[in-house]
Amino acid sequence: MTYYSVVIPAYNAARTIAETLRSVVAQSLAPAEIIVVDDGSTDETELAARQSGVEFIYIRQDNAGPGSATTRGFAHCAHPHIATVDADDLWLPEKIERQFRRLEEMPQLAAVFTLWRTFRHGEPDDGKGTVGPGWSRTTMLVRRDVALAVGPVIDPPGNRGDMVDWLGRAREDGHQLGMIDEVLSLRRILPGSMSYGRDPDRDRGYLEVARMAMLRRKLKNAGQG
Amino acid sequence: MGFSAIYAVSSTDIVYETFDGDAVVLDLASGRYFGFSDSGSCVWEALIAQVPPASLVGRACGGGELSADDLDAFVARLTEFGLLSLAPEAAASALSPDLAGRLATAREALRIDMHDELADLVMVDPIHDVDEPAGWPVVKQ
Repeated sequence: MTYYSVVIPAYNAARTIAETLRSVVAQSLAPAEIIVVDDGSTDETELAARQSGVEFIYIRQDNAGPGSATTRGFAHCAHPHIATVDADDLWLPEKIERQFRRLEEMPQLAAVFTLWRTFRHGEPDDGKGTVGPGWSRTTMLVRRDVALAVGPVIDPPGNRGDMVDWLGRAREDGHQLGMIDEVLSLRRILPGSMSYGRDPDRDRGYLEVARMAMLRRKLKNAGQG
Repeated sequence: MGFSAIYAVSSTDIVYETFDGDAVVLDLASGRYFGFSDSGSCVWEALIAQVPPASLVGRACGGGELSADDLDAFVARLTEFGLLSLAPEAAASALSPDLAGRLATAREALRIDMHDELADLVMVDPIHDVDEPAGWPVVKQ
């Protein structure tokens, strides 16, 4: 039961996607299929992916956001587990194998995540980046039935918070999410991209996620009342 | 609560928006988010518009009036949560007619609710903060 699909949503990822793909095929437990969902890139994302030499299924859609592209990828997956990764991040070679081992040890888990460490684009990973729990698309290995049951990955305004919303909904539905306490994924920091700045247009996405969570809670309480 | 006290959002980590009359506040530093009763949303909006809380005492609210005690307690909660802090240099504003009208028709007591079930997810959400040509996330129109 270690067959898994990989879904890579990609938007203008020509600079990085080949490296991401190579980290996927370098897994000690190889994927059964890789699906790249090109979210209407305007750069050479497709060409860069093909030049990586890695085989994959290519799907292109009009630009709609990473959540939409992820959902599109889920729909095409043919295997019982799905691993996802952003088109600029990397996996360490034993990531998937460790995650399947965790699923064997704890079959009650619906999905397994890993710690991740940051690295700077254009520089080799020196192991000194910030380490944290990767509750994210890049580290996720999820049962396909769970992914489909939780439903679409919704893109909030500004494309911030899509996985916060989706993982929050998964937990609300009672799915248990596990975290492997080991760095098995790398998160790329692009130069000039550290403006995790309080950008009101983008932060609005998180507010929308919070708003949706409160509305769901209100509906649930009303149903119980 | 001094009569002239004015409050402001305490840091740039505090982001907020009102959706159809319901204010939602998120503390990006802690991942906690906050919702309000209908009257609480109105008073939050008034406070961040630099309306002194004391000037709201006696305002019509849901068939009654806002009391100093209720406002004191509400503002205390907002400051305890780290959402507001005193802004001694700020100039006072008057309550807008729109907010006054919404406050008068509010039906719930002043209340703020804190939620933290998404905090771990918000705190680590991938912030591949890049500009449009570089990739996600892009700002959709």
